[in-house]
Amino acid sequence: MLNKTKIFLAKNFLIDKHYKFSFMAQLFSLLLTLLIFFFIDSFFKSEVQKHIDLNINYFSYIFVSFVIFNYSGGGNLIYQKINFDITSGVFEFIVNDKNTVIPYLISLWIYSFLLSTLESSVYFIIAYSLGLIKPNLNLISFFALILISSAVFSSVYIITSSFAILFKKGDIFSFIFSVFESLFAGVYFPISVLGDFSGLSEMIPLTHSIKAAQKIFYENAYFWELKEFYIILFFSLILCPLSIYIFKKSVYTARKLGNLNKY
Amino acid sequence: MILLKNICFSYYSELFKLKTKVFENFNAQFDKDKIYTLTAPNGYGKTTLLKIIAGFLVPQKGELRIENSVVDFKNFPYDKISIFYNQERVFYNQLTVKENLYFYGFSNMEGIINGLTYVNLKTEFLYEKFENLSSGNKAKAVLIKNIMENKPIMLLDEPFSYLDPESKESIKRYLTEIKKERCVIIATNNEKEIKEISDETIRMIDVK
Repeated sequence: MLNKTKIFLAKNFLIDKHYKFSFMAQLFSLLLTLLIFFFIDSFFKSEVQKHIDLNINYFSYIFVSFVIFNYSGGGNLIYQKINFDITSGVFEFIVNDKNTVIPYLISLWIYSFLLSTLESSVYFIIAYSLGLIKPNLNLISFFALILISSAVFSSVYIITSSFAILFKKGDIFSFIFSVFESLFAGVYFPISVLGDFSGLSEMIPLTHSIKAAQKIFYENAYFWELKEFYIILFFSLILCPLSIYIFKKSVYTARKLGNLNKY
Repeated sequence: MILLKNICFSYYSELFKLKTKVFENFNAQFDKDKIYTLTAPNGYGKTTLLKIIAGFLVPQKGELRIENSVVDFKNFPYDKISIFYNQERVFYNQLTVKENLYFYGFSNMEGIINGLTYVNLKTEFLYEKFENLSSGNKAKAVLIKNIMENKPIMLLDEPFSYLDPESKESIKRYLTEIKKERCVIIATNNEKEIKEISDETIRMIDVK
């Protein structure tokens, strides 16, 4: 299983080597987005500040939210990779062997985690060296949080990919989820802004990851002290096995309908 | 070795949207130590049949037996079957032949070189990107994978379509060498081409 995971990881790396420019362009566009928030922060300073519980400015808030949201985007990468394998035709060979499904999914999770970590490290180095953020970071707790969070995000996108395998209209599911998440999870603004709708936010794993990350990043909190961490852990215990089950089920159904390789 | 009993299979374009009915109560049997030729007009279901035997498709009804055991499609015995079809959709275009073989679990150079000999190619070929190969060489690359899999059942869908005469002969020699204790099924529209190595011909138009 370890060997197969390693092979799948190497495959993703080798294929993405062909699209270096796309990675750089993505990094650049996200840096520009962060810059937009820097100026929004300068413009609305006191208005936005009152909604943030921690003693940080809006840019510091959005920086951490963005880093965590980036891991959710990494989950979306899983959807894209699965879609790529379907259009290449290789997917049929990968998932038909019951022994390769789990290493395949694990490799996608690890790969998206590594890419997101690389991107987040670049943001951190730039923002920190420019003095835009003043972290009081608990590194081990932060690592534990992003590891569990990315497993949860990956599971969600494995589920949306499973719908894509069956309905052949995968973009809709991952797009709706991504928009829903960015609206209600407190990525761009604290959820207190949502008023009566903030109850919806509690149902989204990303909300809890962002809350926990802010405390770990700026208040040196330990993950075991945070209730949000246990909520994420609970989500992971439910969603990880559920996503594997749904994925296997949708692959089997697509084999029965004869459209596994269609896109 | 392979027994198909009352197989029913239809393609659906989406969930519950019927597209094409292919098999209704289809029966066939394939024994070991033999090379079979499977012929039929286009659209008759040659590829579909091979994909069902390979476990890539699950019949809606019917039974598949391999080596006297009823196949559970949720737990398919992939270790027994190797399939070749549509060489364009087996390997990643962005990877070299060697990287693609590694992706399928083959890194033993001795075995790879052995495969190269059967498909009539030199070692340099391994370092070519799959997307840069001609259709014939793509077919050869995928055939190396099938040769290296070395499984008791070998299913080949139009394996000779793009091959040059020399390579065709080489593959035929290989198939004759390995057929003992194995079952090889070749789907083709060109029956004459493999007449000399085929032990039995199944015309689907007669069986269906």
